[in-house]
Amino acid sequence: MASLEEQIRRILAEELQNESATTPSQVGGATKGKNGVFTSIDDAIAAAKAAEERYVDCSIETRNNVIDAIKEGFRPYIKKMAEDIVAETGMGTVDAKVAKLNNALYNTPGPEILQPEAETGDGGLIMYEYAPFGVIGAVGPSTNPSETVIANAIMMLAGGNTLFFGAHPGAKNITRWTIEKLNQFVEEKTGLTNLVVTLDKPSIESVQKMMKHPDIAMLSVTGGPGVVHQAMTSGKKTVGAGAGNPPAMVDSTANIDLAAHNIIDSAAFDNDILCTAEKEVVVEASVKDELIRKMQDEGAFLITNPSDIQKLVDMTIMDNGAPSRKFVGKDATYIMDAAGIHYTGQPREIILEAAADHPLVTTEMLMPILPVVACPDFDSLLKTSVLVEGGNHHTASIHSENLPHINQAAHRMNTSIFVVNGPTYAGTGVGHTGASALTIATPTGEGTATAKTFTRRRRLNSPEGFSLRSWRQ
Amino acid sequence: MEKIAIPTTIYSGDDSLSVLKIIKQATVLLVCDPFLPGTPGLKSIQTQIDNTNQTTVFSDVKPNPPLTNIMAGVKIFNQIKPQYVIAVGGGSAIDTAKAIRFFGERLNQTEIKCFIAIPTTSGTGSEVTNTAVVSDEKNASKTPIIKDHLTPDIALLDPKLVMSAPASVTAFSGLDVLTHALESLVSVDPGANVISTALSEEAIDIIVNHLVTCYKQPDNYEARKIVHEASNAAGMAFNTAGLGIAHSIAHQLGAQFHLPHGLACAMMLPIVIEFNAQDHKVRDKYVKAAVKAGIGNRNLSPRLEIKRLQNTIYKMMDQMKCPHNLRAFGVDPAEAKAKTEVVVKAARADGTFPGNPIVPTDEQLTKVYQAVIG
Ligand SMILES: NC(=O)c1ccc[n+]([C@@H]2O[C@H](COP(=O)([O-])OP(=O)(O)OC[C@H]3O[C@@H](n4cnc5c(N)ncnc54)[C@H](O)[C@@H]3O)[C@@H](O)[C@H]2O)c1
Ligand SMILES: [Fe+2]
Repeated sequence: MASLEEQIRRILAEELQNESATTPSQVGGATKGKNGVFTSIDDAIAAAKAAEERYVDCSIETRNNVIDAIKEGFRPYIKKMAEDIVAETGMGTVDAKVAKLNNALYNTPGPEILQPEAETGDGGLIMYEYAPFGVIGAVGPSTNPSETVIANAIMMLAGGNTLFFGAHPGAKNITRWTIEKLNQFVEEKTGLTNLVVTLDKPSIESVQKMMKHPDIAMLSVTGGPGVVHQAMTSGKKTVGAGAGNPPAMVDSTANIDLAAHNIIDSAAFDNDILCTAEKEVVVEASVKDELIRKMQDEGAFLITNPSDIQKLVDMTIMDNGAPSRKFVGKDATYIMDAAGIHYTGQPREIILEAAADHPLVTTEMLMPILPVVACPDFDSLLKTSVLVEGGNHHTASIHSENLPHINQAAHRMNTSIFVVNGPTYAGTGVGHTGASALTIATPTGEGTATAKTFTRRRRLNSPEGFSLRSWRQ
Repeated sequence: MEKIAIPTTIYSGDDSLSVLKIIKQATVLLVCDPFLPGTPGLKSIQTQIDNTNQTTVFSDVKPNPPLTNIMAGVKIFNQIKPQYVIAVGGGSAIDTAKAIRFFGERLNQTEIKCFIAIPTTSGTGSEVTNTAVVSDEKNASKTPIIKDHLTPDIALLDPKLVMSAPASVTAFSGLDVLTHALESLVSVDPGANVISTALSEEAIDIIVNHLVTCYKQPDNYEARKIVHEASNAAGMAFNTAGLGIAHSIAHQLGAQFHLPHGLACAMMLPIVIEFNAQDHKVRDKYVKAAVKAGIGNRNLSPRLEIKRLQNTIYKMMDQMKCPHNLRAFGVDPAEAKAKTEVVVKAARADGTFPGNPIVPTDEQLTKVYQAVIG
């Protein structure tokens, strides 16, 4: 039998061990999540808030380092991410995902676009700077999961914010992977943690809770009309990127070869799931047949049999008027196989002739089905295009050589993106056509979002100076 | 979620000892401070314990209770297997009794019926806390045993028992109370809440306004009573909210230079307040409590108000003849400086460290410690 002293020392040693085993988890309190992934929404937002309090005081150099870490870190993973997105969501094509990821990573401007503005004169100095909001609550779509995480992170972090990202349940694994990696890259390079946080189990309820959370300073929502509406009624400043239904206009003066090529190339890109992609063609009757022929040459398959068209409508549009998830972002061949429509070759887009009020025209289909609507003249073409765009203020394009037509259409369409004689994906930055635009704030009006969209404009007045041009005795 | 449990039933007043009459036909272990045997204080306690009970007195208690003394007590526990443990004395006696109970219950697989604490200093709040700090002289270490079931069931606050305390004990233990109150006020682990804040703020008010009276007039019953209750309140506050780095470093000053606990706390307190006040949320809590205690006024800038609070502490220390730093206490500054690394490392590992509202870097902790050398 052990002596009393030995027994007591053994008990004491056990105590000490229990102590050391329980202490580390208590320190700080913000150590609950890992690589930005949390179980509880309150913990996640608290961590992003703590991160923001630190980040807001960091130098611009640190912000640049954070963004460099993201750009460099993801470089070797682009192909893998593209494949994983297609595998998890079942939507789009790997090639398009690679192009979109490159666009988000290397074509999203950082802090360099947040230069201050200054006025000077007899009133001294008046300066405006672009300052962070705080913790931004971001919600992304399933159609662009990693791309939206990356582009939103770069824009918001450039502005000095941190963000809570509400993943789309249909893309939760790749979204989580992207956020975990992003945090690892950033921590490795800068030591900062939890600049982007998310939940291990995303849900609609958690996003609703986030929108009401007092520590969320601003919302940025890229998604369908329901979630955008909810954000806009939350009482918080909201950047809402909603649905579109972009018409591609083709008038009788257009270079039809170029128009056919651009329209099919752009619509088929990622199987037509971009909110900016051409969803219908509105063409002057005199060039309709030529355009259809040339679109067929570009890889479109024309369906003419009315019963086939009806089958397509019944299969892809649900009773509530929304497109069926089963076919969103799917290959054209997959859709035609499912509908039992006979085709030849490997078409990448389905085309058909339809009236302006046909459901395939008026619905944002998000799949490679592109109806063609014929109009007798340019005036009715423009009227019809305004109508089918649905007042979304989203995207439209025109193919024309007639300057007054182009100008009139650009003015009248009143969209956030308007493309002239090009593919509408140019409006998102794919193909080095301007800054990346994955969040296009249509109802709230910021248009193609940049880092500046996620900042507050602050003013400084200093009436006693400076003005290098004048001096009051 | 915040957990607030104050399981101890508290009786306060000069007739509180009569509660002991409930004990009948039981085996009692009375752990008492060595100053007590032969004093009227202990007599007043023993006369309340019914003579149908079997009472054994254990009074081999040392300050900062060492394991060897606790073992001697555990031996007695094993022999008599008590139903009641009564602890009478300063924080050291109460902690000794708690530790004896802890080991005794574990070794005998039993549970005692009731633990009664009767403090004779207004300081540690040990009569309402779940902690017993034991020193192991073999390894020169201090280990806190933290177990909720060690929280005493009953605490009896008789102000008369405190009156015999030497002036220095009154000063040091009273400043310990002030440190408990000001650290629990801003603690983040487990964290202050409305209830603990109320207790902290009231204890600050009482100590600031009545401690020096106790020091100057040891027999002032009203002052002794309210300070004794403040000690108890601050104990409940830090048992719920936690402490901070004034205690983390004070524990090292005790181990390295044998400073009395309360004095070490008092020396650290103004330095730590200044450090923590960098965080403006923390600063505002100090300011609110200080204004409530009648220090400065709400029109002062927070920075000045903090200065007033620091000066108030130093002034109280002057009035009670407490040195402000290690040099004035008689520690060789060079020696103190040489111990920096050890002190910083051990302070970081101290159980009170996580409570501090700012997690200091080693550099900052070094600065805070070296400021007390003088
Ligand atoms: N358990 C806890 O929660 C907790 C909290 C803080 C401190 N502590 C521990 O408490 C101890 C310090 O306690 P303390 O400050 O009460 O000192 P103490 O118990 O060591 O007492 C100091 C001295 O005063 C004497 N004394 C006590 N009461 C007296 C009286 N009424 N009349 C005459 N003499 C009297 C004691 O015999 C002793 O010599 C340390 O070990 C510290 O670690 C424990
Ligand atoms: Fe203490």
